[in-house]
Parts: sequence; C-alpha cells; structure tokens
Amino acid sequence: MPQAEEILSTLRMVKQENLDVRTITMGINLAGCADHDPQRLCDAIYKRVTSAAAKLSEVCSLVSSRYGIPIVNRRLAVTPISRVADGHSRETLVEVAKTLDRAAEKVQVDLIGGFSALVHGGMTASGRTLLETLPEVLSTTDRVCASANVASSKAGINMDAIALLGKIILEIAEATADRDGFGAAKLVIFANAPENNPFMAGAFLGEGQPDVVIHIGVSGPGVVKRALERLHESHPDCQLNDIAEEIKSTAFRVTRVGELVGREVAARLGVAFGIVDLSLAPTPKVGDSVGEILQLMGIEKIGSPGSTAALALMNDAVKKGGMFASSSVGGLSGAFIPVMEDAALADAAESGHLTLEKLEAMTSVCSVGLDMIPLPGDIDAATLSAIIADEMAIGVFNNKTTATRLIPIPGKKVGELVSFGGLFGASVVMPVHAAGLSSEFIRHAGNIPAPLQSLRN
Amino acid sequence: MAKRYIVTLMAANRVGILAAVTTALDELGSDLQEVSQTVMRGYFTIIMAAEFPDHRDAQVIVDHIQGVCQPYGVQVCLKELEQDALQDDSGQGVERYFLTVSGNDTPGVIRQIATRLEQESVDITDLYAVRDTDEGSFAMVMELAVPAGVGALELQKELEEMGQEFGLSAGMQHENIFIATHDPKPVRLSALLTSLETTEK
Repeated sequence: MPQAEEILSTLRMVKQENLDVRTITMGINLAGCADHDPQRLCDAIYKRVTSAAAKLSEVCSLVSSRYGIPIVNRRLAVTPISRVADGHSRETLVEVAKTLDRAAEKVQVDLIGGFSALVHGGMTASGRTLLETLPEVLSTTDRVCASANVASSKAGINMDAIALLGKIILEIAEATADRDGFGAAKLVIFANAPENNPFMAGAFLGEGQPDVVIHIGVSGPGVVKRALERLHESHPDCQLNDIAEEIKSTAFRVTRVGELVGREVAARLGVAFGIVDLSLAPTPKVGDSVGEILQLMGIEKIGSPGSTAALALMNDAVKKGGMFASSSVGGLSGAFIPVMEDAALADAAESGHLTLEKLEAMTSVCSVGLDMIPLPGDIDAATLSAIIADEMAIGVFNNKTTATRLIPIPGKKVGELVSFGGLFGASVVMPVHAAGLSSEFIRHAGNIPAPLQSLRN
Repeated sequence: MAKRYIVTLMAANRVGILAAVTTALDELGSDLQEVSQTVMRGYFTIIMAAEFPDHRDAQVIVDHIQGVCQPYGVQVCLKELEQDALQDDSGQGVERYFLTVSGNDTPGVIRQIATRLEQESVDITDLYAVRDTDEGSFAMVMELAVPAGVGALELQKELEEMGQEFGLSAGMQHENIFIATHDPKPVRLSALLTSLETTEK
C-alpha cells in the first residue's frame, strides 16, 4: 500500500488545505444550431445544451464522492454566440442570452460562458451587435458570461472595438447600478484568448474544439501556501529556488488530481477530455489566497517592489509542475490576481500598497490580467478603453494571454467599499493614476498593427 | 521435492536479528521466496515464505531458528503452505479503496467496520493504525479490495455514517487519487471504467 503518510497527506490537502477541482466546464458546440428563424435558433440552442449537459451534474457528484475531491463548480462554455447567431438582430441576441440562461438553470450549472465575439482582426456586424446588447444581456440574465477577444499577436489590437467597449462597460455598470455594477464582472476582454479556458467569465468553446468536451480547472492556493509554510518550518534558510521547487512539486500534485477527475468524468459521460487548466485561482476565503503566498515569499505588502519578481517565480513554477503532471495542460494555467476575489490583494488595495499601475506590471508575468478591479463610477470611457489597450499591448507584444475585467462602481469613489458577496468578493474602489487624459489617443481608433513576432510563416 | 512453509518471527527489535534469522535459515538449507517485515513500537516482526529440503522436520526448523536467535528472545511460528485453502488474492475484478478513520479513541470501531466489510466480501488487504493514548486520538488507514458488483458508493456512505456514530471522521476513496498525488507514473482509469465507456457508446 502507498505509505500511510502519503494517504493522510492527500487527505489533509483536501480537508484542511482547500484542494479541490475548482470547475468542470463542458464545452458544447452550437454552430449547428444556426438558423434564420429566431425561434428555431433558440429552440435548437436550448435542446442542444440541455441534452449535452443532461448528466453532467450527476456524474460530477459520483466522481467527486469516489475520490473524495470536491468539485466546486459545474459550468458550460459554448461556441461564440456572435458566430452562432450571425445575421440576427439585437432582440434575437438578447433572446438567445435568455435561452442560454434557462438552459444553464435546467442542467444545474451556475454559469454559462460563450456569449462572445472574436473581433481581433476587425468586427463583424454580428460581433458589433453582440457587444451592443451586453448592457441588456448582463443586467437581465443571471448565469450568462460574456467575452470579447479584441487583440492577438497575429492580428494586432482592434482599437475600434476597444473604443466601443469603454463606453459599453460604463453602460453595463449603469444598467446594473442597483447591484453596484455587477454586470461588468461578467465580461472579460481578451488578447490571445485561449480556446479551451474552463474559468469564468472568459470561457468559450474555441474554433477547432470537439462537439462536446470536458475541460477542468483545478486550483489550490491553500495547498501551495501550506507547503511553503512547512518548507519554512523545516528549512528556515530556504532560498527562492527552493521555494520554486516546492511550488512546482505541489502544483504537480494538484494538477494530477484535476486530470484524474476530469478524465473519469469525461469517460463516464462518453465525451472527449480536453485540458487541465492549473491556475492558482483564489477565493475570498481566508487561506485560499494568492496574495498570501506572495507574503510567505517575503513580500510584506503586496504591490511593493519585489511583487512582480515573486509573482513571476510563482506563475512559472505552477506551469512547470502542471506540465509534468499532465500532457494536456491548457487554458490559462498560472497565477490569477483578481483583486476582489483575493482577501490579501483586496487588503493591499485598501491600504494603498497595491495600485492599478503595479497590477499592470504584475500582469506581464502571470496568466490573467487586470481582473475584478473595482474602479470609480465616474471614470470616463476613454480612460477605461486606454487601460484595456495597455493590457492588450502587454499580451500581444509578449505572445501571451492577457485580459481585463474592469468594474466601474456607479456612485462610488476611491476608497469606498464594494462587496459582491460569495465567490466574487469585495474590495475598495481603486484609483486610476492620471485618468481623463486619454481621449485623443482613443479617438484615433483603428488598429495597432501586429508586432514583428507575428511573421512566423 | 521441497517443502514450503510460511515462517513468522517476532521479537524486540535489535541490530542483528535479521542476520541471525537468515543464518539459521541458511544452515537449514532453505531458500527464501518472499519476505516482508515491519518494526512497530520497537518490536520487529517478519513473515517469510521459504522452501526447505523435503526431509526437514517442522519442529527441527522451529527449534533451530529459536536456538540461533536465542540472544534475541524470538517467538517463531511455522505454517505449511496450503495451496487449495488460500483465497484468491489475484486482484481480478476488484477495485482498491482506502478507508481512513480518525478522531477520538473509541473501542470497538475496528471490529464493527471489519465485520461490515466481511458481510460485503470486501477483503482488507493492508492496514495501518495508531492510537495516541495520551491524546486519546486514533488514526487508521485500511486498504480494501472491493469486488466488482459491490456498490462502492453505498458502502462508502454507510462506513462514513458508521464512523460518525462512533464520533469519528471516516472517509473512503478509490486508490487512484492517492497514486495520482504521490507517484509520477501515469494513472490508468480502472478496467471497470473502460468497460463502462464501451457499453455507454
């Protein structure tokens, strides 16, 4: 038998250190539902989603019990709707969103992503229409998540789309003002969006994916943190490379859990298994924080000098551990720094140690971007667009994925607390340095051409 | 034709016991087939499968080992290998699970669990348990061979509830999760699962 100590340590990771499968996301191809008739379109979508995901919940429960690993969320990701509903009106697109919402509820999943448009090379009419429906969609549905890929290393940066989105995000926040602008927490803007990302709000089923596929998101900042605490206890003189090894080794174990659970869920459902996304994705729960890991590495106040280097070490060590654990690592895979969803990051924002500008630097070495950032309600659209443009540039010119999930909080100013509750967490509104000075830049619009590295033929 | 015996030995652990045992076995002309040993709370125990020359008497074997190991005060036990009476441990058609129970020391829990497992024809293939009498706490890990056709999920719920009745926390998981987290080798989904795949398609 494996050493009793190994058994007990695995159980400790689950019971005390918050090791879990963060999400099992079923990707469903809706391209075949396309129809000129809006009613037939919606019916086909509803039928396809509910039949593909009929057994998802039940199978997840079974596998979760078998291995004693909690599967925290079950989610769906569909073909970008701007493609599926190409040629349709705004009204129809809103109907489609409501259909997705109902279908998700029927199969007991909490979020359904894919109300999306891929516009990195230029907006289709349908893409533009979809983006314009976002304020209504994100304020009248509960489970629908939206995203837009506005830039890629091959296509450059679509500044027309970014200029439009600055305004739309403000409208989304306004439309959900009664919920502190929560609608904007369900929209992610990407550069180099992954096709197989299981995490929300940015999950959608990319081109080239099978009809139905299971992607897994595992997480375990708590497990990593505890491993580092034990390392410091046994080796108080440990160096940064020792820390990197420990993170890597822990990431290996966490990824293996995800792959085992994911492959078995896929096998039992009779569908394809896609990827494991090993991301250290924090939740507001204490002990489940990425920021706390940085603190353990000696960054007393997150946002102070050293934060970027420490995060780079962590992100890379996580990826390396994951790569050995599974041949199918994908999605975002790295460390997330969502301010509202991480208690330690939110604290640092409140004390002023962590600023938007430092976060931007940190996004250049980790896997998501400017995530769950609450901003002043009176921010102007051009500044929002310019923040997005900066983040897209980091992604495009460094051949990595970056993203923004910026939330203007209607009626709130810098330093005021906003709380979305549950997994979405809380934070004070963060200031934007030198805001209100980007209108001319954004007015130019057009596109920023693809960088040198894009010519790889 | 050689005679096969299972030999067990127990004594307070001291340096040199194994050397003495193997010397004795050598002198008896025996050939070791398989060995397993454990040291627990300062006591050494070993179980061996060995082949002896046909003419070697059982009592002679015991006396000789005991004699050579005199300084260690060993207790020796001998059993003739009975091929037919053995249960099938080949592991065909079983899935391995691990049952862990921990909490405050409560008499009778191992017995109750073992009895329930016997009713389901679940074999306990390995066990580790430790009781901390000072703290009054208790932790146990049992390796189980669960035959195909036994409802593992129901059994799991029952055992977990049983543990709770004793005021203990109990859990049962399939071995794959422990292999996955501690061994870099690829984890194969069980044969039962692959047959499920093919029937569902």
